[in-house]
This record gives sequence, C-alpha cells and structure tokens, in this order.
Amino acid sequence: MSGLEVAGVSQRYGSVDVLHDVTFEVRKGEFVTVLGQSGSGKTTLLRAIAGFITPSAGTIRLGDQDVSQVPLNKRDVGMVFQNYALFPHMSVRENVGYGLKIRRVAKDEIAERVDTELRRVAMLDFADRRPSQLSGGQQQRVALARALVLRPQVVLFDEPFSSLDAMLRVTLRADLRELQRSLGFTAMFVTHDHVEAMSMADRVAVMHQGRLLQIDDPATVYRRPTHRATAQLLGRSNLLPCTPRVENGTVTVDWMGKTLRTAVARDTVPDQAYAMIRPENVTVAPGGPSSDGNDFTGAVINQEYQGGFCLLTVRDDAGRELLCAAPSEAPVLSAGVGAVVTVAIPPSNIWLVDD
Amino acid sequence: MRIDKLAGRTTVVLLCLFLVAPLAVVVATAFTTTPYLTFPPRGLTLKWFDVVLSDPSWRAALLNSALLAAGSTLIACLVGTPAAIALTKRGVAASNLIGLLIVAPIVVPSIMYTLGLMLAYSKISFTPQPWTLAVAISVLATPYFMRTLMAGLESIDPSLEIAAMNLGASRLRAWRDVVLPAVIRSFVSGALLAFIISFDELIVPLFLARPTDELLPVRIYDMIAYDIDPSIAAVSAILIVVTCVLVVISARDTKRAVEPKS
Repeated sequence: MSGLEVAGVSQRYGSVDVLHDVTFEVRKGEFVTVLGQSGSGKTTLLRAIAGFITPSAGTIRLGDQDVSQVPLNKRDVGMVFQNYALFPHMSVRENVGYGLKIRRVAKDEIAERVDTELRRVAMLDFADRRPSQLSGGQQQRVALARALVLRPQVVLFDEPFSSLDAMLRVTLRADLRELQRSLGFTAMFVTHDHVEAMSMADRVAVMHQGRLLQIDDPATVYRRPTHRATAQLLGRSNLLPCTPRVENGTVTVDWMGKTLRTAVARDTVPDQAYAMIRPENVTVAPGGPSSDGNDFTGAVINQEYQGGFCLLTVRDDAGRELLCAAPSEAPVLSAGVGAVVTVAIPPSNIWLVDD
Repeated sequence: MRIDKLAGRTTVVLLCLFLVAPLAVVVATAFTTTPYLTFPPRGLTLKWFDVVLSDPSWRAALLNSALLAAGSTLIACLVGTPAAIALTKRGVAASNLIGLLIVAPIVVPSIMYTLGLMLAYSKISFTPQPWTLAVAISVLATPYFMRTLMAGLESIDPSLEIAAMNLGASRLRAWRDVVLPAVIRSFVSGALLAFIISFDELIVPLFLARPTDELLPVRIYDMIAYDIDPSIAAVSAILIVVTCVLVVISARDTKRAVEPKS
C-alpha cells in the first residue's frame, strides 16, 4: 500500500522551475530521505506535500486520498522543522498538546497522550520547561513528540538535525529510525548530508535543480548512480570523462588514451560518458604495473589522512588523475608523496554514467 | 580597566545624566516652598501637589488628556495592527511606498500638518470635536505604534505560524495562539508609546481643540506663557512618576510573557 504518492508535481516561481515534474511513491512505513544541495527543490517538495504551498501542477496522494486541494491544516501530515519551530511562550507539555487541543480532545486524554509521547522521546522530566530552557537536541525531541502525538500517516523532516553537533546527530539518527520502525509511520527526511541520507534511508531520493534524478536504496544510489550529480552528491568519486564502446556485450572505456575494461553490460552507449570509480574500490600497491592491464600507474601527489583510511591522489605523466583510498596501515603509505604506485581497478568497480 | 571601556562607560554615564538631570530638576522644583520656580528648591512642601490635585480644572485637564490619548491610541491600534501585519508579509504591492507614507507624519513638521488639517476640516465642514481631535492625533501616534509592532512581527519566526497550522489550526487560530502571544509585548509597548505621544501632543490641540476642551499640554503651555508657578513642576513630577510606573509595568509583563511560569 502506498503511503505517499507524488505525481508530476511542478512548481514555478516566475520563470524559475523550482520543481520539475517530480514523480515518486513512498510505501507505507517506508523511510525515504531526500538528498540535495540548497536550491535543489528538496524543501519546496516537502512544503508541497505538507500543503504549505500549492504546486503549479501535479497531484499528491496520502494513502488513497488525493490531498492536492486539501488545505495544510486538514492534511494528515506531521512536520518537524529545521529550527524546531516550538512555540516559545508555551511549555513543553503545551507544545506537544497543542494539536490535540485544536482537535478538542478531552483534557485527561491530552495529558495522558502527551505524557506517553514525552516518555517515548525521554523528555517527560522536562515537561514543564519552556523551549528556551532546553538544548537544541532536547528541543528537536520535543518537536518530534509534537508531530507524533497526532499519529499522522506521514511525517516530514526538514533537515531537523542540521543545527546540532555531529555526535548528537549520529545518536538522533539511530533513535529516530528505531522510533519510526516501532511506530510504523511513513517518513520523508530532507537533508544535504549524504552520510545522513544513506544511513537512515530505506531509499534515497536524489534531487538536483528541481528534478528527481534517482530514487533507490542507498547502495544503488552510491554504487550505481544514473547521473554525475548523484555520484558527486553521495561522496567523493572519480568521474573520468571517457569514450565508451561495447565489446561482447560489456563496455570498455577510453580515458584520455588509456583503455579500461568494465563489467557494465549494455548494448548501446553514448559518444561521451563518465567512468565512475569510488576511491575505496581500488587497490593501491607500490611499484610498476601488474600484468592484468586494468590498472593505472602514477606518482602520489597528495595524501589526506582520514582516520581509518587515507586518500591518495595519483597522477601519471599524461596528466590523468585518480583519487584512491588505502587503509591507514597499508605499506604503500609509508612511501609518501612522490612514490610511484599502481592502482588496480577491478572492472566490476567501474560504473558508466551517461550524464 | 581598558581605556576604551572606561571612555564607553563615561559616555553612558554622561548621557544618562544629560537625559535624567532635567527631569530630576523638575521633580525637585515641585517641592519648593517659594511661590516661584527655583532650583535648588527652598524648603520642602507638598503644597503644590495639593494645589494641582484639588484644582478641578487641573483634574479635568488630566482626565481629558488621558481620554483623548486613549481614543487616539485605540484608533492607532485598530488602523496600525492590520497595516503592520500586511506590510510585514512579503509580496504586498508597493509596501515600501505605503510604509513610507505611514511614517510621513513624523517627518512632516507638526505645524504644517495642523495647518493642513484646519483647512481640510473647514473644507468638509468639520467642527472641532473631541473625536476629530483624536483622529488628528492618532495620525501622529500610528507610526510609532506601527514601527514598534512591525519590529516585533518581523522578529517572529514565520515557521511558527506554519507549524501551528500543520498541527491543525486555522490561519486565524494560529495567529491568535502563536503569533499574537509572541507580538503582544511589542503591541503593548507600541500602544504605550502611542499613548504617551498622544497625551503629550501640544500643537494639534492648540489649533484644533475647542477652548472648552481643557487639555494638559495646552494648559501647561498657557501657564508657562501667562502665569507660571511651581504647580507646573508638580504636574510634571506626577506625569514623570506615572510614566515611569507604566514603563516598569510593561517591562515586567514582557518578562513574564517570555519567561516560564514556575
């Protein structure tokens, strides 16, 4: 059963296409993250679903109901805001109970449901405080409780963790995912942080310049992006401009005169494309080329220590450059900058991106 | 202490002195036993306060001025609130121009404005009435009220209203429950400012009030011109104290609105 369906939604402001024909479906109980840079239209999409704006075209369905024309205060959609948007003059308890009060729920029931919800997010001890007396993380938990107490079909998250510090963010991600699984609501979570997007999602929707480029599980968007923008949004990668050709059903690419075999099975290829290689999908060894041929030899021109691994930039005489990752304890690293290394690239770790 | 910090503090102290000293002089003068204004006061008496408070014409003037200011403030609030809301929303056509027009009464010399009003009122055959006076003064008070309210409205996080509506509130309800409590302090201080501006206005009533409408600023002006004695200082002292009390009350309300109950 569909939890949320967005069909052909477009939003124009003057001559600017903020959203262009966005179509996708979120299953009931699914957790979808929307990844994009600022200006990609991801927040506008969220606002359209919540009903803050009426899109220029397209329909939005919640469950089996078309809500395109339903005003925002009648939509069964919860929202957690980036800046929490807690009501400053109300206590935590009053904030969480506000939606129930609007719905004229009896006072006893409000008290009971608010307490249950605050206990769920471990904020019951702070029920009588004002939002200004809480830390950012605590405020965000209250905002979550305020949305969840109404048991909406769909809960939308607009970069809710972006103003919190990194450690807290990691904890809150796991907490939220656990909560979402146990309550079973459908969630759409907007973020510009690709790690956040991939670690929380059942599926990641990638937005770029008002278009939905791809919506797939995290591994697929990371390893098999359909667009260059997707590859770039999901972390560092090599996007080598190349000329592909098909040989025996698989693709071979020509990268500035160098031939690399890939495991990509296709019948047709464009004249120009990009070979995508993630840095951690190659093996760096000291010395000259091996016999395999699917490799790249050059000098290390830069090392970036990252903790568990180290990023190396390798450049050859023809000016080709490849970003590679090596485990921090790899012997190749002790050779240092200037050392000649050979990078083995397994054909299955090269992916062809058309655009 | 660093020299620039010292200089900063000295400036603040001097500024305060400059602002407060004249008021202190007026208040002190009210206690003089002499039948004329003098500073420092000679002796100590409450006689002048008694003269003012037991004089029916002073009391009438005080009451009339308060009523007039209240009326003018009411008009300023009724006109200024929707205007301020509209102007702080983006996308209102010519909002810059309208904003400028609303502030214009502060810029135009009061005497010109009054002259214009006299001509306009006579053209449309308005005879001076308390309400025509209140309308005229509210024009001067509205910009103060609106600027204060608009500052409050602009500082409100626009997502609060949306959040309330997302939780099921109608636009009106969201405004009442979420926006209003957040702007109530700027509303109150704006209204207070409008009241003080209205209460204090001399030029407009000087030209447009009927001779029978005893108003405090006009009365004080007449007294200074024709027959000055320390009762003026006593009136001023009363006004200063009342104003201080109003300011303290509004400051306390502000604090209570923002801080938790417990």
